[in-house]
Amino acid sequence: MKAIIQKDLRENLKVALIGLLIFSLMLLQAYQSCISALVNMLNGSYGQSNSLQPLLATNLLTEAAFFCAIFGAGLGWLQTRNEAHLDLWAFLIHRPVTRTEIFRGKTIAGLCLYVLGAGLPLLILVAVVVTPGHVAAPFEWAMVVPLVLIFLAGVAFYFAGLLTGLRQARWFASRSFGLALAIISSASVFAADEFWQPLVLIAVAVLILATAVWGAYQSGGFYRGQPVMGRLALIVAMTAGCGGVLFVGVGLTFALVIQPLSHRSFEYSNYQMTRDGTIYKETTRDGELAELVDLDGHTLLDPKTGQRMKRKEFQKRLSYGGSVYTTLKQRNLNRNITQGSAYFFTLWNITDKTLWYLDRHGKLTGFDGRTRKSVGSLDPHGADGTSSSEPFLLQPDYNYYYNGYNDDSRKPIATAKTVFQADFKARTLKPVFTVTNGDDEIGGYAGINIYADENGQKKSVLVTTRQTVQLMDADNGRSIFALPYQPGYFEYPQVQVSFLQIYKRATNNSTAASTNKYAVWFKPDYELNQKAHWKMPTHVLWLGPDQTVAKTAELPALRLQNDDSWPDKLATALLPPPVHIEFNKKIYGAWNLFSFALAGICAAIGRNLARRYNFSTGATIGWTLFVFLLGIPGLLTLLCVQEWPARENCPNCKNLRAVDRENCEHCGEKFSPPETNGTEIFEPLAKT
Amino acid sequence: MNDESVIQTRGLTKYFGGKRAVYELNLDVPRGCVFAFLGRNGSGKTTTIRMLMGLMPPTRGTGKILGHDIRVLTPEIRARIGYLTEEHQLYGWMNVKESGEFQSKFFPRWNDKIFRGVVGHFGLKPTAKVKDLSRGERAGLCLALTLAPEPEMLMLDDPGLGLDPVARRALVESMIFLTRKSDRTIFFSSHHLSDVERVADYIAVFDRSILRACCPLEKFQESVQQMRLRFPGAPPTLPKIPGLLQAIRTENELRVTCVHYNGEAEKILRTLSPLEMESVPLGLEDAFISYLGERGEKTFILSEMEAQP
Amino acid sequence: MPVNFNINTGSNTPIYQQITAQVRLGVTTGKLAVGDQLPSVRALAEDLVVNPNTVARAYGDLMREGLLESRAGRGVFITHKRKIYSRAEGWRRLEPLLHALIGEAMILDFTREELREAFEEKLSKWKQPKGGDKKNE
Repeated sequence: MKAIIQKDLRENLKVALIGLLIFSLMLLQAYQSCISALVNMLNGSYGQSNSLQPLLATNLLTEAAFFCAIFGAGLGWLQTRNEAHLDLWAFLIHRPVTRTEIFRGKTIAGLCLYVLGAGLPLLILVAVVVTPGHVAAPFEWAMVVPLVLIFLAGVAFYFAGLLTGLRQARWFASRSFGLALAIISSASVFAADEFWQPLVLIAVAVLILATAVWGAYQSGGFYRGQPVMGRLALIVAMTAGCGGVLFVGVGLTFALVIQPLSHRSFEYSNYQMTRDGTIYKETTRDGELAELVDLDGHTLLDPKTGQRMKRKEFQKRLSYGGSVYTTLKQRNLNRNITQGSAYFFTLWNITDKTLWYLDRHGKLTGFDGRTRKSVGSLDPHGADGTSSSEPFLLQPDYNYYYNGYNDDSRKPIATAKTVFQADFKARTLKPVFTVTNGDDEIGGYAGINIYADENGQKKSVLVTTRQTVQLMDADNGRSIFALPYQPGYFEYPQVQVSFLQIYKRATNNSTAASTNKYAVWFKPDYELNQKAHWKMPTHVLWLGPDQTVAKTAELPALRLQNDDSWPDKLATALLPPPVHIEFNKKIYGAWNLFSFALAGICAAIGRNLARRYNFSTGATIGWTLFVFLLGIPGLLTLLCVQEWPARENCPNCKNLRAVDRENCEHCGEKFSPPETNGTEIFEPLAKT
Repeated sequence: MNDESVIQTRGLTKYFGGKRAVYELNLDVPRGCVFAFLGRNGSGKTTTIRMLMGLMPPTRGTGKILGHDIRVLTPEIRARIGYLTEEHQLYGWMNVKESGEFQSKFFPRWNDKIFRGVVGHFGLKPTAKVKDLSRGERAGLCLALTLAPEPEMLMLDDPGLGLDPVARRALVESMIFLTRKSDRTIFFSSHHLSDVERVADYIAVFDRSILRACCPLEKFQESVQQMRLRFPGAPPTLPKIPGLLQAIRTENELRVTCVHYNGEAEKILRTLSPLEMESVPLGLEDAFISYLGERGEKTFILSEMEAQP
Repeated sequence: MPVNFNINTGSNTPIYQQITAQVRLGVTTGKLAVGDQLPSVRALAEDLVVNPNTVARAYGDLMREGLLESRAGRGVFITHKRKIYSRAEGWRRLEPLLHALIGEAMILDFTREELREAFEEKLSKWKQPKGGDKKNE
């Protein structure tokens, strides 16, 4: 076996080195683009905040995923190309070692080369990132996980590549179906919620594909001579492949052909409040404004034209404000580890070329954008003024966006008990609000700029705790208004405040006036409302000048109006029955019957084939059930995987019989001996 | 079905799709002989050898090599068989010495003297890369790699293919050298009938997927006979003769080649009343060509072409 | 070795018959005398590049004819123990040679008289090799 390892290492070293070079260049280029994004952001233009930590940058991860996939599959495939010639394959197989040893030798060599070509550049990247002075973003070792997963997914591709090269299949394309399983496991790295999910999927894919490759070595790439484990693994891999092809094919057909033919309308509505406090319901259909009515149903007319007001005109009249989503319901942000850096940190502020991050542990750290070194952290202080290690609250959906108008260097940040106003120029934290009730906690907060008066902007903070909703003046800590949090934060996690004031944007030096009139909205949780069949209304409170409740209203819930068009139903009906039931969450229904019927037809075809080619009883039952459960992909798998022997007429009973059986399945006759023509020369050979 | 057969097949059959490549092969190869496997290109020889070596699964039928089922050849059995493939394929990037080292790691019974001897006999330099070797040199290297582990049995698939006469002579000499040990069996396929005549004890002839002859070499040559009949004018039509292979008709002659020429055939020929009837002795090559050529009556092809304006 | 064996493949004659014919010819022309040793089966096989079984068969036939004998441990030697052929057998062996000789002479345009004269002359000068005399023409 060692000889095989050495031979394969030597044979394929070139490929690995080329891969090493290409990957290093790719990573270098991706790293450089991250640095340029940083420079862009420091200069004030827009940059992907994702790219600040190269290990988590989407473009780097995507490039790495593609490379590991192509390199892994290519390496596996090329390893088999070395014995592509049937006689070289014979030379290899005729070694006096077991096929399993040959398999092990080849795969050990291949995996070593994969680690060299794909792993070494990644190691170098990590080393660079870890060294201070290179990356202006927080680092923790868990950030390496996405790249590790991508690297491991490449192993699945390696085995899929080997399988593609080894399999003797009549339909050439079906050799590459093993890649589907690898693609699924690689895609799951980007789609899963928890990091262990893709890890399990990759491990399963690698196990199945490796077993299929082992089986292929046992039988020389044929289906029939393989041990059971190899066959099962091959069936699973091929099913994924057939399913994938079907999925893509159907998807493309639907997207390109059927979808344009069907007229789907997509409609949604929402409530808007104008600056005078009136609420309107705005309905959009297929992207166009379809309806604009007030709560009594009267259409809002443009006074100039007499027609329904157009959207642009309407938007000039809208009130301004901000909203808060409480995090008390779920403290942990279930973020996908590979969807950008949001899982690990949020870019909070850029001031004076220093980037401030709120990481997932609740620490606010700063990095100098030019030297890319850490400048320390801003820690909250406790009541006695010393720095405490209390974590800051994480804010879901917080996007740092510099719009160029506001003075961005002062903004709020809160721990569980206190809201601070952070000044990033001076690097100080000033407490603005502290919960008074001992066991109350801060749920959400947002900084809102008020275009107030001649004095310029006023900074305010909207804070919600478990029990209260407050609007604070951020500069002097005074409360502008305070309300009890009714209805509770659990059902109504979103609170919005609308500023009812007349203002003009301070662009032409015109002044704005403030009326100190506010309206507060309590919006219900979408999923709870769905479960309650949309019975939960939106509560709106208008506050009077003394900041007590002057008027309330309850607005009926709005939901997306979506026709379940027939192309959608047809597409899902092609899914195999178990999936379809799960999808539709019901067993009966016309489309479900369609799905069952389709599966039944496939199963009948499958059983017919099994009988015609004389499978054993167990195999017939197994395959029929398999095809029924898996529908069209199941049938395709049966056709791809099995080797179908030719059929000839039996000399005795004249029926077609498979040529791989000794006895005719109809009449039991053996095959006739070769026809003689009188010119045979046979003489028994003597023993020497 | 004796225990001394090193190769034994019963009903061995292979189909490629709907096409028959090997049909119902029953073969017994005794130990210690030199067995030549003959047939036209595409008649099923290489397929049979690949099945016997466990590289290709048979469609049906059984086969045993050295007593073991060909579908599950264990490493121990493989160590006892030396297999030379048709195209003399090796890893091109290795050189001669490395090829030897690679091979020797697998076989504990590696005799380096034999390896160096054969390599030297073919004039190969140890540092020459395989991809730079000529066909004959590659064949020599393959032969060295096959012989050095001193296998009990040699399976050679068209070892002389593409070799120049000098290399072929070296090959035949190596085969004869091997017969020094009487328990060694050599099974080979070939188109070079002169080499087969020199070296084979038994031959088997494959005709379009069917085994048509399996006998000692002399028996084959003896069994195919040609009779020349001279007529005063145009020869008459030939009636059906048992064992007829070919009949060639010229201006006033009829040459009839047939198998197992006996009294019955002679009687039929005499009924044609030829002026003369004599038997023409055939060499192995001519016998072989008649045996596997087109059956039936034909005129010499060129005279036909001349007859046309 | 007094006789250089020379075999052709592709000839109408099987190889073993070529060997036996050459041994016989050697004996009749006197190149091989009684008591001369022939190479062992293996040595001749490797020299001629043929299967040893072929040489063994040739030697076997010669031994059955009485032309060759095997002495244990020493090798294969020419003997003068001749098997008596029946007359008919003898004529059967001679007939093709006569046919060939006369046919060739006719082709070369020799007359019957010339042929007879040459034949008589040869015959008168021919000495039967008996008791180990080597004869040369």
